[in-house]
Amino acid sequence: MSDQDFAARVHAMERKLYRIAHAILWNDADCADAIQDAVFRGWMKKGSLREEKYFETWLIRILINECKSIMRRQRLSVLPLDEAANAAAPDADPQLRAALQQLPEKYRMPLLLHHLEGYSLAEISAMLNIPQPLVKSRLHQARGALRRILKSGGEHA
Amino acid sequence: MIRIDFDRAFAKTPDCIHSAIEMGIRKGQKKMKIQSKIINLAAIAAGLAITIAVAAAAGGFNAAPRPDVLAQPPATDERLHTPEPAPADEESMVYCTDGGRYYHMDEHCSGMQGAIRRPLSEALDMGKDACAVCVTDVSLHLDYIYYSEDEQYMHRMEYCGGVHYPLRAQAANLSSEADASIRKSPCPLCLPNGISMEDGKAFAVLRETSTAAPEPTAENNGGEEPAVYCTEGGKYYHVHSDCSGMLGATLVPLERIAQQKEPCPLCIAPLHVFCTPKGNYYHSDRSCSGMVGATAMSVEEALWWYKQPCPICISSRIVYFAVGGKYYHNEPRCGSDYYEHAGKWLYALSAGMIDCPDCMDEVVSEADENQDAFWAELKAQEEAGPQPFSSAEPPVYITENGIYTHYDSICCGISGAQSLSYAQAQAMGRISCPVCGPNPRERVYATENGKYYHCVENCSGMQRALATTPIEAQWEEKWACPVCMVPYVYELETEGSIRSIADLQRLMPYTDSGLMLNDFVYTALDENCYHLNADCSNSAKEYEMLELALARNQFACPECIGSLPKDIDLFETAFGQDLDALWENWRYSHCWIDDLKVGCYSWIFTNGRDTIPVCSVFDRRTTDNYQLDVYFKGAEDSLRFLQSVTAKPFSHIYPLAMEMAQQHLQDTERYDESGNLYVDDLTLRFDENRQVSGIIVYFKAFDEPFTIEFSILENGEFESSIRS
Repeated sequence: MSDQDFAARVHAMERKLYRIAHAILWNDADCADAIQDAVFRGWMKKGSLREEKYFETWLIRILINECKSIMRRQRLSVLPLDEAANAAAPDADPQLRAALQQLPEKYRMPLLLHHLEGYSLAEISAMLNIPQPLVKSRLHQARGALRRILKSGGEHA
Repeated sequence: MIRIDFDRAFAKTPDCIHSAIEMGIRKGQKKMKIQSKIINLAAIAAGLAITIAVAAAAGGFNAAPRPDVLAQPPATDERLHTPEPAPADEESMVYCTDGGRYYHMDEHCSGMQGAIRRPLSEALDMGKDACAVCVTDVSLHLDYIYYSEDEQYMHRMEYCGGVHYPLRAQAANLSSEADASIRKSPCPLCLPNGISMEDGKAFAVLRETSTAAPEPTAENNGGEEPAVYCTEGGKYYHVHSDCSGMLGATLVPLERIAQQKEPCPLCIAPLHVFCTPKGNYYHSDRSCSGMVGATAMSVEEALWWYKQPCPICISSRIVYFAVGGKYYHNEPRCGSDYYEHAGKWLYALSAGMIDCPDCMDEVVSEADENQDAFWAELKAQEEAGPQPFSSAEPPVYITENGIYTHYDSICCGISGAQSLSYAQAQAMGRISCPVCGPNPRERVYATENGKYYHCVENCSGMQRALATTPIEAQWEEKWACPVCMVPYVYELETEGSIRSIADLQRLMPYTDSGLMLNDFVYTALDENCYHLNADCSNSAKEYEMLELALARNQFACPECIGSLPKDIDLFETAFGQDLDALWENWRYSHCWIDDLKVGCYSWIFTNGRDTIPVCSVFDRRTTDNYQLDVYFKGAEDSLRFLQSVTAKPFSHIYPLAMEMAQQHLQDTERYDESGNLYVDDLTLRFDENRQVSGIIVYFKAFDEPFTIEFSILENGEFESSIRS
């Protein structure tokens, strides 16, 4: 993969990278750090990518690792709900955002990767490094949990 | 069924994300460039060293004279050859370990374990070389070649040899007429075996399977005699079978051809290096690490004697050249020409340049003076065979009732010391003297056959060093490393914190001379003096830094260094004064002046001045204050020292001076027991015979100075006078 191709494909994934990083870190500054580090690592290791069709999966995997690394460094899992709500930008839906934040990360990530980003179960399995049946199970549980949260907290139809 | 637009949970992508991506890419580009530079520079040094060493191991002139980077022939278009078979469909996969030096085709080559399968390009990016055992024919597909308009080579890498080549072209088009204008010769570093074309694709041939000329062996060159290559009608003989694109060269014994043909000016004669008979290395710098007695020879000659390239000067030498030129130069200006391009010597060699006959002549002629002695000694060494290690131990000294082992026979004014071996002193339970012996608690490192001991485990690329103590190292006739030990000797309080040269530079940016490898003198461990003249003493001499000699409390030899002084002001402050004017009429330097800038030793030495013999015996770590007790101790030691050197009984002068000073204060009704009296300065006066003829002690009490001057009479008695 040439340098130009890499840059072009990363820029095309900009929104996607932001949403994934944000779903873990819930903070724009940390997201920027994680994305920068992930892009840097991706650039350095792009020679090891065997098949270009897996570029997105591969880069998202790096990004998730970077996000977790930042979380470890900061010794935080998620921001408290009210703080997170305050941190939300005005153009975001605060209730949906709060509902997603209430979901444990192990359910939230498969949910967003599948229903928001449109990745298949196999791709999510590769990204999260978990078996495909487990992805399916977590998706099912995530949907149920989100449904319960939204019903109890208000109507999101 | 609930349908949710999850994107609503996220705000609009902030601008900082776009910037972060840009930053990540830029950071990656920068890092890749740096890595590329480092790999290339390392490859230059390592490649040349390995090539040369392999050639040497194979037998000097008999070594395989394959076209290597040492004396790369001028670029010829034949190197862009086409018939070489190469796997064209996909990039080769190779095996290598993370820490290994080579990449392999065989996963378990030579018993290798844990090798990872990687693309060849990745292995090359990691700086791996081809394994000589299992890699026989490997080609790397080339997308682009890089070049610059004013350089004769084209390169596989954008950064090759530390140089950036900004232009690039499709490698596949090289054979076409369209790109004929940029067709250049393959770089000897990154394309050592040229480029092969197959099915319209270009491949870098990383290892050739066949050579044009037969390997020179004992069978085909008629035995062990040095053999060279030559053509039937050629004027020169060569060490490289394809020098200057030569074809059809045959291997003939040098002895037979030497009278008929001349040595090739390109691949044989002009490349001069320097080495000593006993040294393991050959050097590009005639005085590398203080080396003396080096003689000039060609690299081939050095290899013939199993010398290895010096890790210090061979890889760090900077030369000047013109791009595409034939010669490299020692200085940017050679004759009437100015050469603005500076680069590593190895790079110049790899570009096929040879040393300039004009600016190298002078250096070579100096070293040629040692030729006869060199060959005689080498011959003697060969005849004598291997010598036992450390046949003569440096002696140590003990006194009858003392507890210390001294390295200085007159340390702290001891008298009647007996010389014996270190082992004997150890058996008697004596411990190393804290003044003249190095601190035994300090850990130093040395290799078994190394000349120096070091405070940094990997100093100058040293490997397999063992931890030892300075005493043991000195006992084994090793010397303090001039690179890492000099500041260490001075900076004992940093014990344990120095682990690298970078630590040294951070903790001790300057030695007292300010120039670590500047001033060299002749010394011997069992002497008290250092010399400027190697013939001054019959003792075995070591040419080493002045700083080291001073750190061992050695002083300037009265015989070979300088003329006699008149008056010497030991503690005169030079602060705020013009140093040049102040020292214009002085012979001696001032090492105790805390106001002097760092580098005073170097400054003084290069101005032809000596070190004061008195203060050179002081522990200079105590100079950070002028308190009376500290000063007393130092002065008494110095007087004892003078007593032993000059046989003049001065040791009672100092208490006498103090007694007189106190009496003086009482007489002037200013006596104070709280200790307001202290010595401010001291001056020694020497006579024409270098004997102390007078001592002037400067006191201060209640900030009012007065001096007591002792004049030494011929009968050894004193005259004293007090002046306010």
